[in-house]
Amino acid sequence: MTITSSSSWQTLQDHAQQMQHSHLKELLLDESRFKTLSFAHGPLLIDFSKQRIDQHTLKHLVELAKTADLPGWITRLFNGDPINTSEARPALHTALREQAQTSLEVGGHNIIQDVQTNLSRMEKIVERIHSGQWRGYAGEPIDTIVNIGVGGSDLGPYMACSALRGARVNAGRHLKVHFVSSMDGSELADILGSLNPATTLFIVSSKSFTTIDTLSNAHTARKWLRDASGVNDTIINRCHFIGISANPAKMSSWGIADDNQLEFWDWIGGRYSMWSAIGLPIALRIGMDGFREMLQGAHSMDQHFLSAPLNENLPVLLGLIGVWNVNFLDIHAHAILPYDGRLIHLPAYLEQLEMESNGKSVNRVGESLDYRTCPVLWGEVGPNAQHAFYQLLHQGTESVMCDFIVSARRYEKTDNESLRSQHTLTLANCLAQSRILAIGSAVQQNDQPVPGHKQYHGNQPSTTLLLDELTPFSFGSLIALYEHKVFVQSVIWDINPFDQWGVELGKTMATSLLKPLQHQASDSEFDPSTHGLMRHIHQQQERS
Amino acid sequence: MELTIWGQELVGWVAAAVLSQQGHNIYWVTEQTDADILSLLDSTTINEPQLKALVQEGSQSGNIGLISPQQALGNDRHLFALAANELLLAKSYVAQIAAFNDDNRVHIINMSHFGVGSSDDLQRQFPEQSASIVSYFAENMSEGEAISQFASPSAITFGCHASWATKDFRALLGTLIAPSTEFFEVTPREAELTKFAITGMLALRIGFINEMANLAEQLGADIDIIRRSMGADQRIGPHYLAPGCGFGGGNFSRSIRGLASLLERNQQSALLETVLEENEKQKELPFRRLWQYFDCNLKGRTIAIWGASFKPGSASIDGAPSIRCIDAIIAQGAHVQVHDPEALENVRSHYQYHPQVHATDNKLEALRNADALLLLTDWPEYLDIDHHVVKSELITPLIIDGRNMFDYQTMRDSGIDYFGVGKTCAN
Repeated sequence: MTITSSSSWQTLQDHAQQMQHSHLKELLLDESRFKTLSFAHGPLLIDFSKQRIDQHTLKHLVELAKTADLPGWITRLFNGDPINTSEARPALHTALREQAQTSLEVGGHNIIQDVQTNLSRMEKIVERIHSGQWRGYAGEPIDTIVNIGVGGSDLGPYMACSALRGARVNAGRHLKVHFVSSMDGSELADILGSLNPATTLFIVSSKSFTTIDTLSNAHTARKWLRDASGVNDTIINRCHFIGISANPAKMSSWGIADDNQLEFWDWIGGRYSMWSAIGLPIALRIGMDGFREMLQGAHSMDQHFLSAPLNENLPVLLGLIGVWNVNFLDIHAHAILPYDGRLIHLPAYLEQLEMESNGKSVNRVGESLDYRTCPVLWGEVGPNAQHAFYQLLHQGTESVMCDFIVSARRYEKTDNESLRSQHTLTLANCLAQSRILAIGSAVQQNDQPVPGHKQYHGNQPSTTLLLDELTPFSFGSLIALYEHKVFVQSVIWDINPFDQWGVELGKTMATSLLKPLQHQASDSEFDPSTHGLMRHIHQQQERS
Repeated sequence: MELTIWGQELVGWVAAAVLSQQGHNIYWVTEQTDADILSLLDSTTINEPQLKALVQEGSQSGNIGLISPQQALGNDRHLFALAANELLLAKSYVAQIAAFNDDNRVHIINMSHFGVGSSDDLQRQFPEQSASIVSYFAENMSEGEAISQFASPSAITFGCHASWATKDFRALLGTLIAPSTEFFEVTPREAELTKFAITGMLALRIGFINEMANLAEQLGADIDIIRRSMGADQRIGPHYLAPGCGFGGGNFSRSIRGLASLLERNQQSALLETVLEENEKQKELPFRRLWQYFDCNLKGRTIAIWGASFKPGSASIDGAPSIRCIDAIIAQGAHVQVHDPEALENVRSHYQYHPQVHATDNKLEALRNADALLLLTDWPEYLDIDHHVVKSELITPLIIDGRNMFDYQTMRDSGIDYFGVGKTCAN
């Protein structure tokens, strides 16, 4: 039996029929709406009162969650059951932020111990770099870090380093941190010219340590060091490369020195890995204390997810309301709108987290699904997006659900009045936009006729996530919230959110196109489009 | 004459020692008026040559006595020798002295480096109509030679707004001002800036010659030849042109830092800031040589270090290159065996008996089973050493000389891998 044939799904369908006729401007006439539809945990408040729901919707959605055995799945997730069935492994990112003194066995082995050991090793590296005692080949202290990684080995740390720049520690202030991901070497080519090889340390992050994008960038970096230093590879590897991977053997064969290897494990998905050693660039920015605070923030959300009743459980409600929008209100676009420049990379991070996890059309046993799953996600810093795609949100033909993310407090520690008033302006914009999206032209409350091109239809649902302030702790909670939200949706949709088979074929195909592109094999086996494009490329290359 | 001295800086003790010899009565301000005066000397001052003996003598003769702050307020001639970061404290002292002396005319000679304009700041603690004066005496003595420099100054720059106070100051110094001593009467602000400018200029010279030395080395030239030729040019002169592994010392560095931030703030000039940054790097030059010599791996090695104080004649390790080098070496998992004729106690207390730091007062013992010798302070006693002995004690015949104490060719000829500053050739 699929979820769509369950009575709770049917109930929701009937309920959606009624709700289709309610406009948010009417729903928001209810004075008690904020009180009943907003929920808080720790430094995080979520307001669902601008969603097209009522009390009944939540009740029915919770029933749906029970039908899908969400509580059972949550338990299995935390217990380390091999719920990533296509790869036969658990998904234990929650173990990365578990309290040190607890224990959790995977295959008869206490993994909390491994996690803690690795954190200590990370701490030593951070301390050595912060104290200026990690030395390059010339004996000078390292002052520049380049993180080479892609996907989960890039987006998480990149996003977090930007988000938490206010929590930067003094010890790390002299450090410049760069992120390099693109296979074509664009970022590397840009920065290498301005970096000092004697003081630059590369972190090569790859779960498998076979990712071609990452390894080709790492090779370019090593060649750059070789040419500049004239010292041998043993020295270059020992002084200028740290490896982070679940595959120590591959790290060793690439040349990463034993002392410079940090591990994570195949029970951590790449896009769930910033809590592990993959987060080293974050720790270099905010110190190990800050990093641990971030873990505690996530752990606090884990505990809430594990123990709070479904109808008060933040990740559960966030996930279920997403399902409501997709499957019952037929909304398939989701905009992530942080009103905080520090969260500029959050949309890209969530694009991977949500779309790589739930962008699937078969269930856990490989059968095709007869319902929609993950919507298309995109986003941008809210105030900037107001000058870009908000036009479509307000007056386009697409229904879009939006997440507004903002902090109540900012710049509290500065005496810069001007910056503080900029924050107030940002808050005003955030509240204004979600209000207009919900209520539409009616916010203006005048009886004058409005021409069509000035009308706002409203009724675009949104969630506002309000942080007390953006700290490592609240940030950790926020990201864990989204991770669990994705898991909740995967359970309702009966999807394995922890694999990503959809990215594999492209890698194989790219490999098989390499030789024809280099004229080392025939290109006749490909489709006419690929064939035509290759020929044009060859012609262009021959001309130069 | 009577003089009441406030603060703990070296300059105050030096003034007390020298002026008590001149027959003046010195009152040293302290809460511990029952203490043995020598117990009040801190680790930097106690090792300043001649100082301890002179203070003891002054104390025994009764020319130096201890006085509590309360009792001191009523005196009418004071000298301030407070630390650079104690301006607020100084202000409160002046305010209390001002309150105590409604009618008396008081002279406060400020010798603390609070920065340009701070003596005028202190003056403002007195009512505008008050006849009392805060003057500024720009001392230019260096640690290790402080007593002799204070006792026979070649020039004096004295900043003061009232002629009676200048006369008072001249009377206090008496015969210390020789007929040949140049005496510049200026405003306190000018005197304060003069103090800064002198140290800044010296720092620039050292910074410049170090840059030249590093360049000479890369280009295969000998910096000694170059600096001797430079020094012979009368427009340049020979002083402060010896390259080495950086300058340290509390007073000197603090004073330069003060000027550097003044330049940065008022002129957006990074000139001295850059000199300071480069100097910090220069302090690690011996470490970098060592690191490269041993293929960037020092784990398990033992390194001998001769000279820990920031300069010979001083026990102070404040800002000394030895600290930077030792920190770097032990962070790489190596041990150090440190010798210094004066500074060992300071080394021991700085490293709190760190298991990788062994301090020894026997310089040959420092070499025993060591992989290399780093020479960081040019104490004369190191010049006497037989380099064959050094060579035989070391596991690797490697000497890295941060002070260019030895002749490059002689050392190389006797089979020692010898590196100086600006002395080695490329490769």
